[in-house]
Amino acid sequence: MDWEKIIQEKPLSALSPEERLAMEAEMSPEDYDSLHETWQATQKYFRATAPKLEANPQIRQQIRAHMRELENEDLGAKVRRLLARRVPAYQAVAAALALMAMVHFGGNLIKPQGGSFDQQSGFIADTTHQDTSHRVGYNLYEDSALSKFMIEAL
Amino acid sequence: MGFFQPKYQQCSDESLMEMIARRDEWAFDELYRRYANRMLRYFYRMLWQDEEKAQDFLQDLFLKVVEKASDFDPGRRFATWIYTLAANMCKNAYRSQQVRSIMVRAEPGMEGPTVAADEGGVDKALFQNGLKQEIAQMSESHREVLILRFQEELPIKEISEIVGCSEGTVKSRLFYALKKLNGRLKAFDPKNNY
Repeated sequence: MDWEKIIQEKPLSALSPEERLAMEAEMSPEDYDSLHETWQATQKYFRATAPKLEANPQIRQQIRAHMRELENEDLGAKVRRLLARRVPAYQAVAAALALMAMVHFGGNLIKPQGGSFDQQSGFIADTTHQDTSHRVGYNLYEDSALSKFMIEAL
Repeated sequence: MGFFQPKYQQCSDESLMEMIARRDEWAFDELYRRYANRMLRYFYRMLWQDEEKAQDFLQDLFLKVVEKASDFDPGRRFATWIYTLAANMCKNAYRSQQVRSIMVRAEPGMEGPTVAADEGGVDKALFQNGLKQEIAQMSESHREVLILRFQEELPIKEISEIVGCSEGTVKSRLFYALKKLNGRLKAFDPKNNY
């Protein structure tokens, strides 16, 4: 039995025989009646005396400003996290290999067209003279480090 | 507000909180509009009807709401969560020496402005002033459930979540508080005075 609901809504005289029996097992009829009346009075008191207060409008503005600060902090933290991230070893190795390749190829990764002798280049690797593709391959120009090494070795 | 912005007024409190966690100021405005005055009244009653204190607490409460928005579980009811925050703030305030000193200072006028007799007769005014004093003198735990039940009109289940105890304990505190009021106010006949 929901006593809260019953006491709130029903005076003693409105209780059903079942409710009255259950009530009498818990308290005296006088106690029930006065509890019901106090409940009603308290409820009316709270409703009648609800303070008519308005939140200070500055509070809303201050909190909005605080939200913007938090947003900036979030952005700053993201940048800091990104900068603080440790570069994995494979990235460093890849960077070193890329650097070595650039030095090695002398900055020219495109094979020249066949038959152009005016370029002062040796066709050590490419002997077909027919290959017109621009495939990437070893730079064997006489100015490249590898061809110099090969010439010296010969 | 932009054309493609969500219709904040139609959003639930919980989804507004998700937007606040993404620092959406319009969502905050809507949530503030829904709860600011309500929470101010709660603080006002809980903190001995000190409006200045209530406004300060309201500001602190909404700062917490904004800062803790990302911790909020959208599966939980927002109203329960905000009242829990507010109730904890009041408990901390009761504990602090600062508020204790306010209590001592405020004691003579703790009941706040008295109800004027011309609102419905001398008996009614006496009864309401008596009730006000009794509520102000109650223990924190009893006043807390009384305010949550009668002012905020929250169901017992929700009150139990807010104060962190069983529904049975809430009911028992509520009835104890009512009995106390009933006993103290026997001099006035409630039948004639509300």
